[in-house]
Amino acid sequence: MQDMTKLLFGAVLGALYVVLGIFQILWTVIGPQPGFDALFLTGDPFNGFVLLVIGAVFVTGAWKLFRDIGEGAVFIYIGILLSILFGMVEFFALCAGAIETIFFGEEGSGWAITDSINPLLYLAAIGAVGFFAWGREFLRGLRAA
Amino acid sequence: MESSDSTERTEITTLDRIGPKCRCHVVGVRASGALRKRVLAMGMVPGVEVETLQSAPLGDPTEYRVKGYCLSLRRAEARLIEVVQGDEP
Amino acid sequence: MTKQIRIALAGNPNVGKTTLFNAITGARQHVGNWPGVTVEKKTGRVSHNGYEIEVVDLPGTYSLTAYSADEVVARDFILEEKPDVVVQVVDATNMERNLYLTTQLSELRSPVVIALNMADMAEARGDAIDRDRLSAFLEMPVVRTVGTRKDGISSLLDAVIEEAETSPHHEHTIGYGDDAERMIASLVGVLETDQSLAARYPLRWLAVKLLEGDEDVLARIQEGPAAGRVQNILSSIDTDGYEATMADKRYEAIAAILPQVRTVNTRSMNSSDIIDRVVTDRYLGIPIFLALMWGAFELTFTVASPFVTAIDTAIAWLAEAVAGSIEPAWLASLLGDGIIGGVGAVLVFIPNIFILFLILSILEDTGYLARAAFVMDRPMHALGLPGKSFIPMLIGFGCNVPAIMATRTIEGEKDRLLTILINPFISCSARLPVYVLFAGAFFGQQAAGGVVFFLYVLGIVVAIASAKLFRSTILPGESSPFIMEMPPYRIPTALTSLIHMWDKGSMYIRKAGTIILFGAVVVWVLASFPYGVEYGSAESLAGSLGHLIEPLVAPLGFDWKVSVALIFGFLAKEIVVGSLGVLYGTGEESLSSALLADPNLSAATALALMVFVLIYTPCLATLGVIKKETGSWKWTGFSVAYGLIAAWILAFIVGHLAGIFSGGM
Repeated sequence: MQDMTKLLFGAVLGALYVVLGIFQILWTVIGPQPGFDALFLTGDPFNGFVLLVIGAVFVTGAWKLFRDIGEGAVFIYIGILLSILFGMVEFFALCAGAIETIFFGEEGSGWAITDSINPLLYLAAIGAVGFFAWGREFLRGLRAA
Repeated sequence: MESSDSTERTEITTLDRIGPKCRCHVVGVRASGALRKRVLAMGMVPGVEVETLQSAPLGDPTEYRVKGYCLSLRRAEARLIEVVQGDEP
Repeated sequence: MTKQIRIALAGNPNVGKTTLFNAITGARQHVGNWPGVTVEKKTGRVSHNGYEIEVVDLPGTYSLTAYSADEVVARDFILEEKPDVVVQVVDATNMERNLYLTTQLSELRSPVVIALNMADMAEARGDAIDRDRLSAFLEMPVVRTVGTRKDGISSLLDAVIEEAETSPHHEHTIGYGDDAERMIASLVGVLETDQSLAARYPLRWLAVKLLEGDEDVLARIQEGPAAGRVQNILSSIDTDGYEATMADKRYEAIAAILPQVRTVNTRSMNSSDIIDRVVTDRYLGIPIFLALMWGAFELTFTVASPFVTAIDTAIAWLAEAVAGSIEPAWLASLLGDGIIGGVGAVLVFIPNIFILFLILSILEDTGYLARAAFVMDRPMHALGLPGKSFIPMLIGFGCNVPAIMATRTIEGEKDRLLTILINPFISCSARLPVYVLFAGAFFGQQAAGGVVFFLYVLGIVVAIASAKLFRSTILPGESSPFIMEMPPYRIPTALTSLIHMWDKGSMYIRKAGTIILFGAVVVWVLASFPYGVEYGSAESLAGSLGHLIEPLVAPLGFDWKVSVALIFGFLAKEIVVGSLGVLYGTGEESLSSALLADPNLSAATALALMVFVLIYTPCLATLGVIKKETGSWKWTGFSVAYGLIAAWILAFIVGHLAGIFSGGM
C-alpha cells in the first residue's frame, strides 16, 4: 500500500534525522565522543538544528499518516524536498571548500574531504530515493513561474 | 446557489472573528484612505465570499481565500472588514 | 524604414510579467530607476516585422489608484508618456482579480492588448477560456501566452502592432450606476472648462478618480480654473462611499463577463494549498523558515568564499605588480594602494551579492518569500518592523552590503528605510577579526568567546532599540498594513533567476562602486600626504587627523593610534587590525603582545574599542549601498552621524562600567 510505504519511509528517515540532529548538538556541548567516526558528526549546532527540523517534518508526516488525519503525505513530500535541498547546499559547500584548498590552500591547512561530509549530505541520498518514488506525483501540481 | 446547512445568521461581525475553515460574506469595509483602496483593489468588496484558511504560527496574520486566490491580512486589518457568517450573503 | 513603437507592460504582481518581459526582449534590456523614486525601471527592445518595439516594464500593481509609488509610476507613465499600446499580462488562473486592473486601464484611453499568460496552467487544471468571446466583451485583443516557454510572443507582437496602427480607438467604459454616473457627468462638465486639462487627460478618468477621492489627481487640477467648482461638488459628497461602490461595480462587470467566457474546473485543494499547511504549520512553520535561512546564509557566504579569495588574491597580486613596476612612487601608490585597493573593495562583494540575489530570486519566484513574511510578521511586528525585514537582518551577520540591497523586497517606504538604517548595527563578519584580536589579547582564550558573543548581542539590542527610537521620532507611525497576496507555489525558471541576479549584481557595481572608489581615493590621500611620508604612518595627514580627534575620543580612553586605525576602519572594518599593525610597527603577527604592552590600553579600553568598532559609521561599501538604496545623501549622512554618536555613548558607558567593575575586583 502506497501510504504504508510513505509512513515507514517518513518514520525511519525522520528518526535518523532527529537522532543525528541530537548528536550534532550534543557534540557541540560535550565535544566529540569516540566510536562515532562513521557518522561524520561535525558538532555544528546549526547543522544539528536543520537536521532536527527536517526530522520533525518527516516524523509529523508519519504520525499524521498513522493517525490518518490526511495531509500526512504532504509533510513527507516537503521533508523530501528539504532533505534534497540541504543536501545540495552541503554539496556546494563541499565543492567550495575543495576549490579553495586546491587553488588557494596554504601548506598544511589540512582540509580534507572528510571534514566536509556531514549528516545533511549523506541523508539527502535517502531523501533522493523518496524523490524518485513520489516527486513527480507531487510536483505535477506545480508549474513553472 | 449551493445548498447551505449552516444556520441562518445575519449578525454582522468582523473578519478577524471568523474561525479557520469557515466561510463568510463581506458586507462593508470600514478602512479609510490608502488602506481602503488596497483592501478594495484586492477584491474585498461588499458581497464577496471569503474563506478563512489558516493563521501564521503565532496566530497572526491569517490567510484567506477570496475571488479564487489567497490573501493574507493582519488581525488589525481584518477587524476593519464587516462580514456575515455563512454561505449566503 | 523601420517604424518605432513603444509599449508598456502592465499587470498584477506574480503573474509572470517579468518572465514574459524577458521572453519578449531577451538580453536587450536596461535597468534603471524611475525618476525621483526607488522603483525599478526596466526597458527592453525587440524587432518584429519591420517594427522596432521599445518595451517598458511597469511596476506590478493590483490597481491604478494612488496607493503606492508603484501605482503612481505605472499610471503616470500611461497618462503622460502615452505609450502606443499597453499590454496587460493577465494570469489565466486568477482572472477575476486580474481583470480589475483591466477595467482601470481601459479608462486611461490607451489601446490595451491582453496577454493571457500562464494559459498552460489554467488548461492543465481543466479551465477552458473562450478568448474570442473575452476579446469581444472587453473590446480588446486577447492573446494566449506562456512566458516560461516563450509561447505566443510572436502573436502578441502581431496584435500589438495591429493595435498600434488602428485608430481611432473605441473607449470601453464601465457603468457605475445612475447616481455615480450623474456625479461623473457633472464633474466632466466642470473639468471641460479647463482647456489644458482636457488636452492632457481623459476627462472621464479624472472625474472617476476625483469621485474616489484620489488626492494625487486632486492635486493635478488644483492649479486650473476648474479647481474651485470641483471642490464644491466633492465637499458635498462622501467619496469613501463612492470608492466602495465603484470598486464593487468594476467587480460586478467582471463577474458578469466571466461565466460567459470561462468554465472553471473547481477542485477542493491544489498542491499550493497543501504546501502552505506544512510551511505555515503552527509548530514547524518558524523552524522550517529558520532552517531555510541558514541554508541561504551558508550558500551566500561559504559557497562564495573561494570566489572571494580568488578576487582578493588577484587584486593583491595586481596591486603589488603595479607598485613594483610603475614610476614615480607616488603614482604607483595611488594606483596600487588607492585605486586598485578601492576597486578591490567593490569587487570582493560580488560573489556574495550574486549568490544572494540568485537565492532571493528563487525564493521569490517559488512563492516562498511571501510565506516567510507571513510566518515572521508577528514577531517582527512586535519590534516595529515588517516580517520581510527579517531576511536582511539575518544576512547582515554575513555582510551589510547585500543585506541592505535585500531590503528591496520590502514594500513600505518607511519600513524599508528603517530596516536599512538599523542594519549596520548587525555585526557583520568583517568586524570579527577586530574582536578576535582584542578579545584574545585582553581577555584570554577562555573569556574571549563570551566577549564576542556579548558584542553580537549588543549589536542586535542596538538595532532593535534604534528601530523603536526611529519609529517614535523620525519615522513615526505603524508599520505599513500587511495585505499581501500569497501567490501559488511555482517552479522557478533559470532564465528569470539569472537575469535577476545579473541586474542586482551589475547595479551594485555601477551605483555603489563609484562612491566606494571615491572614498578609497580620499583615504589614500589622507594616508599618503604630505608627500614622502610612509603610507598611513603618524606623519601622514591621517596621523595628524588622529592627533586632532584624539581629544574627542580621549574620554573613551583611546589615543591617537586608535583614532587613526578607526579612520582607516571606515574603509572596511577589518582594516583596523592592519593599520594598528602599521602604527605599532609590528605587523599583524606580534600585534597582540604589542597592544597588551601598551600602557594606554586596558581590558576596559579594549572592550570600549570593540563596542565602538561594532557601532560606529558603517563601512564605505555599506554607505555606498545606503546612498544607492535610499537615493538620499541626507539619510546616508544621518546613518554616519547616528552611528558615531551611538558608538561614542555606548563605548563610554561600557568602558567605564568595565573599568569600575575590574577596578573593584
